[in-house]
Amino acid sequence: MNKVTEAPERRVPRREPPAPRRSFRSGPLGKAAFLLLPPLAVGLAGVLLIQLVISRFEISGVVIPAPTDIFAVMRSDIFLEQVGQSTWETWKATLIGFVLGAGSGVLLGMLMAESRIVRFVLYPYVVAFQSLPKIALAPVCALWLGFGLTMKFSFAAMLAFFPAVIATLAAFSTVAESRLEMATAFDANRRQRFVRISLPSAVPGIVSGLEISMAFALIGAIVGEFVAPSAGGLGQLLLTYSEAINVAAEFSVLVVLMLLGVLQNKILFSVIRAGTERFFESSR
Amino acid sequence: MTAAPRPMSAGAGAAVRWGGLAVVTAVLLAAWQFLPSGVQGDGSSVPKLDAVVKALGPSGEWGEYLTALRTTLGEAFFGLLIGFAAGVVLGVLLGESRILRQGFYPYALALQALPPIALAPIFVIWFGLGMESKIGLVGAATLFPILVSTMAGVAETDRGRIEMATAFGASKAQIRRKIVFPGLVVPIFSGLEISVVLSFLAAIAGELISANAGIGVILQVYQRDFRLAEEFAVLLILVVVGLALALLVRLARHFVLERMPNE
Amino acid sequence: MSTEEHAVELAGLRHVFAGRGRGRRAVRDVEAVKDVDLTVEPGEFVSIVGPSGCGKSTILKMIAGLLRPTEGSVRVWGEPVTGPRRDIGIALQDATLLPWRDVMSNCLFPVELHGKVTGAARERVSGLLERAGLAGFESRRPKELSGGMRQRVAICRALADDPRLLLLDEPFGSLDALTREQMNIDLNRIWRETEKTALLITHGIDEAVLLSTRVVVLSERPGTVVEVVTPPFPKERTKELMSTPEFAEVSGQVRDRLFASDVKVGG
Repeated sequence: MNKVTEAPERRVPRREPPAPRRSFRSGPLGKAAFLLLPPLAVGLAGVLLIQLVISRFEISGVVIPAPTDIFAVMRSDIFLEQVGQSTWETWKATLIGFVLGAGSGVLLGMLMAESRIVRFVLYPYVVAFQSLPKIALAPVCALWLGFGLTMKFSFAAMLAFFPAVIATLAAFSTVAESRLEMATAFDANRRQRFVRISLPSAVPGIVSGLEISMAFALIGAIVGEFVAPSAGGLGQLLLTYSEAINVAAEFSVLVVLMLLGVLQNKILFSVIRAGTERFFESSR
Repeated sequence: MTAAPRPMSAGAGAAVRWGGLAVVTAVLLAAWQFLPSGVQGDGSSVPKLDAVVKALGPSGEWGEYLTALRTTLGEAFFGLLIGFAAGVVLGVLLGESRILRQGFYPYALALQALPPIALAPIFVIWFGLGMESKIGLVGAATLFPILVSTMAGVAETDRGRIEMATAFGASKAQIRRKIVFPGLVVPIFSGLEISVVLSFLAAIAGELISANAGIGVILQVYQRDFRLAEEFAVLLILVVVGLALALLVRLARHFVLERMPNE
Repeated sequence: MSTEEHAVELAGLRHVFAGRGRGRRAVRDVEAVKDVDLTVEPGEFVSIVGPSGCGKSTILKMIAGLLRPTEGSVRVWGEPVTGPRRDIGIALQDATLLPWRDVMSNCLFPVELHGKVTGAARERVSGLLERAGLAGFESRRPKELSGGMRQRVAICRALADDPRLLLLDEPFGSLDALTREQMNIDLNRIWRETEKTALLITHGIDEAVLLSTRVVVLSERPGTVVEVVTPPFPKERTKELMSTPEFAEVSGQVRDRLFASDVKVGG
């Protein structure tokens, strides 16, 4: 027995084996159809139904704007110009707020995770702030920081900060004890344990936290715009259309805001997850 | 940490930690009271500690605080009730049918990405300045976490349990009642936990935008009138209410998990 | 001290896990091992067998410098152990591979910690992987490997920085019986070819007899040495050896001692 003759052992199945199904569904065309058809059908049926109900029962556009009205608004040049400008203003505040808030949140979370005394001293404050509905701070923020970009991104940063702290702290506290012990057994020092074990192990938790922070940063920017009368952005646009009782335009803004949300909360983060995929595997 | 010398005895460690907490708190409170306030050189922009304490004392505006709090909590409660009921019903429907789930999933994802607070102006147009518009907003905001967790709970019911019940000749209705629904308690509860926090938040947010009563309104009024001691007093009350809500949820979770072990 | 130092020398070893708290929720002190005397000579393969919870792993952790003895002394190569040593390689029951690293990088982990990643180290690890039947798997990630392969990676990692002493804590405990047997044969070959000193913790009697030059039997908690059995076989062990009467006799000897009056085998 000098050479291992055994074949590489049976591989651990990576996904559950495909269940036997009718052949059309399992083909690539069938799969695409199965994925795309139901949403398309639901969307079409929904739009048609709303349109039909509105024209049949003559429901006022103030209650529910007809899909055709929303399309009309979204195609008009004025709307596109206004919404383009406002979207940029909102996203600028969201992004600055996210970077500042989530960045400092992750740093504080790491500091709290690594230092027992810092954790003990700061934890009550974090919990207190966590349980304060932070939206209630918007008026005070407006008073201190004015009604412009500074107030918006600061408020966004504050909302983004706490989820990042909490998620980072949680991510570091669930690092597998066995991995740390393994590193210790190989004489890793504290810095090596942090950089090579804790930090990579905490990546999935931190990314999830950042995802929540990003969503909250957008909420912060919008609320900032609601509260500060001259802040501009999509929030102000919504209020302007609201005062004009232009519900179709409001719905159009909501559609844009939804797209922005999908782009930054879902698509951006699926790219980030794909990029950090190797940290997400839970293997022993 | 086993290789390190044995940690300080529990007593000494605790003394250091509590001492640190006390010192930091004392320094913060002293700074609040004695540092020259006013970020913009305007003495009124940060109220002194003693002013806030006074605003929280017996001479504070407790009538105003409590009326506003009652309105806000009422909105949160009724909104949550609507969001919960709708979320559970829709969640079960979507969870049971794979086709429906697939059809609605992209829209659910997209709607989830929309900050619910952005709906506030529309609810004001629909329901006016009273509690109704905030109840609607809270309902819309709390619906999704419950819907998503219910749907996941139904869709991810343990296959083995269903097969076991089928093997014993259970009907579809029996499987639903005896296998699927009991398994939903825990997932629905975790959705509810998120929604409770959201309900309070959405109610205040709605009031900040337009309302005639509630916490959001008095916060705006105090800000406009530069009555910052009262403003801070309300914020501290919100911290306490928020903590109480969190505690309530925690107790409920303990109760639910005790009664309904998931495994 | 003689020039021929012992690889491991345990004298009067005792370890007590300190209890915590007071009143009803208090955790009592637990005496894990007591009065353990044991020496391992260079080049030996020593197994420690004993019932569950008899403190086998505690002994290993004290040698690895992860735990401090409450009483007694632990010496490795003549020096008292004060913390983890760089000339010890360790593999535990869980492979504890880092999922974000590939096989090569996982094996190089200790070398990297010790700041010694060189071409030579890479070559040594390649050689180890080849000997462990893992050639060609260098850039796979742990999730792509079977349980047995992960354990072999963990053993290669333990050997990567060329330690003089190899500590193994039930490294095959979570594998199925067939895979485990194959692992044992592989481990025997790796041990012979690398000429390390090895100390194995296990509750598998056949495994201990198959692999070891000496088998140390521990009592129930608090664990203490009740018997030392020396299997009289050549260094090279094969599967066929296991079906010989001699093997059965030695195994029986160990088993008898384990089941002796005051010793119960726990779950």
